[in-house]
Amino acid sequence: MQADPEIKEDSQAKLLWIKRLSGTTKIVILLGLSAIGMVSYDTGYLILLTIFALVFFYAAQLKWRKIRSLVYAIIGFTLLNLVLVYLFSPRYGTEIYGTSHVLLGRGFFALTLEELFYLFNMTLKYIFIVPLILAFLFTTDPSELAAGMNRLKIPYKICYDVELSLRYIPDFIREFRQISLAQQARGLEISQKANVWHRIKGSTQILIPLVFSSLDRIEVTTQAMRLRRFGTQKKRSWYMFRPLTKLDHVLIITTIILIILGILLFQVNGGRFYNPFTS
Amino acid sequence: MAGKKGAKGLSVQAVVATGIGIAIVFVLKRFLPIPTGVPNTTIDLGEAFLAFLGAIFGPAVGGLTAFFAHLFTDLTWGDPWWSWIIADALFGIVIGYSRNFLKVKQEPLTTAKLVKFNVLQVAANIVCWGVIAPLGDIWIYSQPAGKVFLQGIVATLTNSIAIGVVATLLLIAYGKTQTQNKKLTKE
Repeated sequence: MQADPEIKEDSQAKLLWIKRLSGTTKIVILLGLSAIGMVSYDTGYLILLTIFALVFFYAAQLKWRKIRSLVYAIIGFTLLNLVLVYLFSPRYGTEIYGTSHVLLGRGFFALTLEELFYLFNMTLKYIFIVPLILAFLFTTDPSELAAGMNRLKIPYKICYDVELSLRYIPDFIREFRQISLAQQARGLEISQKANVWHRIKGSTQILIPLVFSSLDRIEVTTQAMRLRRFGTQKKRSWYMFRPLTKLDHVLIITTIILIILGILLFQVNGGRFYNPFTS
Repeated sequence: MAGKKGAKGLSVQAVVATGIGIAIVFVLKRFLPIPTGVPNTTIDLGEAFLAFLGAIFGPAVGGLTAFFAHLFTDLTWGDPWWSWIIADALFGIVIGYSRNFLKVKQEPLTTAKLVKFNVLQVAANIVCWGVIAPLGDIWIYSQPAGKVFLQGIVATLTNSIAIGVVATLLLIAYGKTQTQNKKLTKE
C-alpha cells in the first residue's frame, strides 16, 4: 500500500505474473482465504493454505529489507498472543480436544500436548495469510484495487474511498513526520523518556495541525471532485479496469475449491477442530 | 453540508471525508501509538480522530472509515482480525450519531453537549470493545474467554481515555473555527 514508489523502483519486474493479476482476483483470494482460515482449526488444511499463500509470496520476489520490519513485528505480535493465551488458559487445549497428555509440570500450568497442539494451530491461523498479504501489499496498484472492488459490485463511491485513502496515505505519512520533527525541534518530548500523560499531550500537538490540514484538504478535494461532477451518475468507468485473464479465472476457481474443501472438512471432522487425540 | 445530501448514496464530501479519514486514522494507528505499560495495549489516537470525524460527518463516514482503516492497519500487521474490525465499524457508526446533537457546524458547542458526547463514546466503547469484540473472538476464532475479555476491557479503557481527552479537545478546537465563521447573521 505505501509501496507506491517501490513498485516503480523495480519496474524491471513489471512482467511478474502476480503483478498482472486483476485486483478482483486478489480481493477474492485474500478475503476468501482469510474468512475460511478464520473459522477452520484443521491443521492439515491450514498448512495447505500456507503453502498456497507461499506460492504468491515466492512469485512476488520481495526483497528482504523491504519486509524485514514487518515480519519482525508480526512474529513479536504472534508470540505475545501465544503467551497470553497460555497464561490465561493453559487447559484450553484439553477443554477442546477432551483428553490430557501432560508433558511437564503439574497443577494449573501443566503443559499438555493438547495445549501445544492448540497453540500450534493458532499460530498457523495467525501466520498462514501473512505471505499472501505481503505479496499483494507490494504488488497492487491502488487504482487497480478500486477497479477490482467495483467489479465485485461494491458501490463505486466506497471503492473511491479506498482509492482516495491509498492515494493520501503516503502524503500523510510525510506530513506526519514533518510536523513531528518540527514539534520535536521546538522541544516537545514524545519519546519513551516522557511519561504517558506527556506523550498524550505531545501527540495531541502533532495531531492538531495534521487534523486541521486534513480538514482543509477535504474541502479542497471535495470542490475539485464536484467541479468534475463526481457522483452524479449511477456507474463509473475505471481507467485501470482490465478484463479477467485465464490466470485470474484459474486462481478464483482454485480459491472457491479451497473454500468448499474447508467447509467439507467441518463435516469430516464433526466440527471446526481436527482432533488427533481421540482416534 | 455533510453526510447524505444527494438523492442517493454518499455525498461527494462524505466520500472525500471517508477517504482522507481512512488515511489519517491509518497513519495515526500505525505511527503514533502510545504504550500504556500494559503489554500489547496502546492508547490509540486513531480512534480519537475517528470519533472526531464521525461527530462532524455522521454515521456513514464514521462506520466506513473505521472499517477500512482497521482493515488496512491489520493487513500491515499480518492477519485481518475480523471480530475487531466489525466491532470498530459498529463503533464508528454509533459515534457518528453524535453529529445529530452536537451540530458543530451550525451551533456553538456547549459543555452539556460535550458531556453527552462523552457519555455516548464511553457507552459505545463498552458495547463494542467490552462485549462485541471479545464475543466475536470466542465465536469466530475459538479463543479462550479470559484472554479476550482482558484485551477487550483494556481496549475499552484506553479508547475511552483517548477519545475523552483528545477527541474532546479536537472538537473544542474545531468548534471555535466554526462559530467564528457564523458570527455574521443574515438579516
